[in-house]
Amino acid sequence: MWIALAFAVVALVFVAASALTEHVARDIGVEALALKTNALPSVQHLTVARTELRHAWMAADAAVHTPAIATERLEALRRARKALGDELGTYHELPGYPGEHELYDREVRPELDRLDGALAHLIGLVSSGRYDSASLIASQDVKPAVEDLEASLKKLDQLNAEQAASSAASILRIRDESARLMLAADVVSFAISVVAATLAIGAARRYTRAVQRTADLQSARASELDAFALRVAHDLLSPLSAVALSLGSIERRHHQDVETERAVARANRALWRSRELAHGVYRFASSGALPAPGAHAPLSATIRSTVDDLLAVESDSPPELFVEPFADCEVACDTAVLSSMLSNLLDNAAKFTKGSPVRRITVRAKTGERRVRIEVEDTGPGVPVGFESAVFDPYFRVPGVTEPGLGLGLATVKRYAKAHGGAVGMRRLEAGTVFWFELPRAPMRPSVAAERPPEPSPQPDAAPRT
Amino acid sequence: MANLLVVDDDDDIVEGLEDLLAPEGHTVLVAHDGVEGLARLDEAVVDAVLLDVEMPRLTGPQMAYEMFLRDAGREKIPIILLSGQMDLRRIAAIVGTRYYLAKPYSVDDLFAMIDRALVEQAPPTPKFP
Repeated sequence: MWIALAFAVVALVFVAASALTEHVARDIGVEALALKTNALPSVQHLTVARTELRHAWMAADAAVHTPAIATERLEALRRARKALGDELGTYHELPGYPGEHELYDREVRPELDRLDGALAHLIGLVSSGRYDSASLIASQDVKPAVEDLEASLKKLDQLNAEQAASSAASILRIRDESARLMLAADVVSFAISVVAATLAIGAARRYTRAVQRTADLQSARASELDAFALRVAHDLLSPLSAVALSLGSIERRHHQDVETERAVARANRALWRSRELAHGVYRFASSGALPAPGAHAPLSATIRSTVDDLLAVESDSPPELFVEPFADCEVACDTAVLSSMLSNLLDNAAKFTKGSPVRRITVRAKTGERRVRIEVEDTGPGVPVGFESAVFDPYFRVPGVTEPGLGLGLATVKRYAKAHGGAVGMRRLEAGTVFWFELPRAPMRPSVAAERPPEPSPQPDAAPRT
Repeated sequence: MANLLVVDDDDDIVEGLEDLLAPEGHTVLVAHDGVEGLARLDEAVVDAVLLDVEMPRLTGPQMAYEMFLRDAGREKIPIILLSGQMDLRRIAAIVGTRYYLAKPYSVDDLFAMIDRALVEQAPPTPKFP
């Protein structure tokens, strides 16, 4: 919860920082716009106006004191006066700062009128050749008017320059303030992020420790259970052995007593079933162990011997047992493991086909580049729908099954397969089931490859082995 | 017919073997662990040893190793391992004996194994480290 709160605060700070940035940008924009549209053009036009004012005075002075070029100078005076008026007119249309237009109306306009009056008088005197009077007007009226107008224009210039400087100072101030605020926001965000990250790392570590503890506990429990199962399996067999010896003694002493013989035979059958159950528990408990590095099992020889073992056990009423042709190879596991896995599937197939009208078991081996798949197909009643995965669970028995067993055979196959990086599975047929397992293929050893005779060509029809 | 030493910490198994072997004419000596077993070998000459694996004080393979080390002819006595150990084949390979039966074994298998050991008299060839 604290982590979520921390991240929410960071997000809020980020949003606030973005809003502040936008506000600052707007303020700076206002000041910059004022500079661009008011102060700078005002200064420019006022500067040009002052220049034209000076041109006008110089032209007037020349007209008065140089009669030879008086006409030409009067024309220049008229041009300069027009330019002055144009510049002042353009300037007056620009937005004004507070007091600016008032200053213009109060000082510049009257000065301009006064100048125009003086210039008109001067021009009249020069045009009529009265240069002495013109000179007097120039010095007493025109020059003071020019100087006063110059001073007023200078005031306006200064006002705009001061406003420009003020805008620039505002921009700098706003920029500095925003930089400080952004820095503060960055520091706060960073601090909260560090806190949030620390909390998150702490939470992740606690979670990892908890997961590891759970895994360790489960592993320890599994190891304890496996060790217990191994111990139980072993410790059961000694008492069973004492029972077997006692039954043997009884059988030898009373071999002519039919009832005793039957009882001993029943006890022996139960004894061997118990032995098989103990062996099943042992095999299941040891099947989770990691395979020995470099383990190899010859596929063909192992299948042959395991099939022979089944036929020896089922010698009273053997099933039809086919082994389809396959390319021989070596499997990356112990021979005992491969034999145990195949034996479990064959035992199941033999057990569950006992009551079937057709009792047939087919063994297939599919050799790939990296893996070997071994399939055992039977003509038994099959696995009911919905139990396809459960049949591989330990101690699972399909409901209604009466054949003896602990339900560890397929679970043992699955455990072995998993320990060796393989897989198990089943698929339904119209009449029967296929159980399969896959194991990694072992790389061919050079000595074995040299000794092995060439593989015979596969026969189209495999004869049943019975 | 033969002197057989039975070494097992399970009294029921020891008595059961005595009950079966004595009527067949065998003389049965008993011991309940490897230390007792070695002491019995000091007292009498035996033709074969029926040896359990897991026992207190001295296990079956340890007793077999001592028999091999002490020499004096004991290294030539055939050893029949009788055990509930699931990897008995591997243990037999280490002890170096070809005679072993996994518990519980049938009486017929037991007699067949004893007869074979007494006829062949193959001594153990241990592969101890």
